[in-house]
Amino acid sequence: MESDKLFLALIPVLGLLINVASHIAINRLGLLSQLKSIFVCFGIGAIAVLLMVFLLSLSCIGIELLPQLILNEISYGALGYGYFHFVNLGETARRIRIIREIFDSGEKGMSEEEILAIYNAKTIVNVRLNRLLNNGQIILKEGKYFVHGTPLMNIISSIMLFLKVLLLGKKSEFD
Amino acid sequence: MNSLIYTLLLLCIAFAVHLTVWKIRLPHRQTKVLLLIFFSTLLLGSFLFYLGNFPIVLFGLPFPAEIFELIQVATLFTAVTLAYMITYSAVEADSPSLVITNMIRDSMPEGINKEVFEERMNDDLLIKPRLKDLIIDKIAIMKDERYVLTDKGKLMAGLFATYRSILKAKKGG
Repeated sequence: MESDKLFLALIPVLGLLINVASHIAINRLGLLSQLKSIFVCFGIGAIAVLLMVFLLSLSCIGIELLPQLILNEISYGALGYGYFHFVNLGETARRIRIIREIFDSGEKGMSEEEILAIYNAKTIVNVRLNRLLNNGQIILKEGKYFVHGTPLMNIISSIMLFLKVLLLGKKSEFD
Repeated sequence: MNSLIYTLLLLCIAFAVHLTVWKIRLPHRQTKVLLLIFFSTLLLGSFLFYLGNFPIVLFGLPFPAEIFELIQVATLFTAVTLAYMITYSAVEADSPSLVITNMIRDSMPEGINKEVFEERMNDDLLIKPRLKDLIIDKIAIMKDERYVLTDKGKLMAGLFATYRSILKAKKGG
């Protein structure tokens, strides 16, 4: 009984391990793109959590199915969100990319000029502009950029703006 | 259900303390102070739940005092805290995609000229503030006008490099 309850408490972590293991396997086998594999593996982990809580509630008296399901799925969801961003940081964060460039240069480190020669605003903007253009979030028409299509980035940007004003009292780090 | 309700209560308390501290004075090293606030709240709250002395009783629910309930509280609290930390890092520093979108959105309905846009999106805006952060967060130090990683920086770089090689992913950025 006690071991069942301890197992119950560890279900979100087990769900995360299943998510991570399946993500590594899918990526190494090259079955899906990075973004798709993250979402698919998050789903695999969520289903595993659901099954584990369900089976445990059948075999162990005193475990309420619905509250435990809600609690474990929320915990797993937050862990999965953290994992998604950990992978995403390695993919898109400027700071991580700069640290990796300095790391690769060895003990002598890098000067600002050397860093900017291999990683600069042009590289960053090109990657992100292509992504926004391909997703249809912006369009290039007669030499000008316009916001276009589903306002996904607008919604995200409005949420981030709200949080910045609430927490930092300013709209941008440059204000 | 009591683990869920009381964890949410602890999170609300931690968030209220965080908001109050931020309104009084913005800390120099924000992530470190956030971690301190949230995990102090978790430790103190869990200890009071265990003793049965927590000052607030919600909906007449008993405190989560059993070991498995305390593990559930710690797991949910830590998961939500880490998720918030990650979201907060995007609040702290402007993401390039958001800077791009905001710049184009601000120019609507006329749109922004490609050349003007490219001129505004420069290293001073996108790279140099991040280089400055490396020094503030003690990830790197300046030695003979060169950025050299500290042990913390080497650990971070090694962690991401190893994980990306496990995933067979490219350098990214």
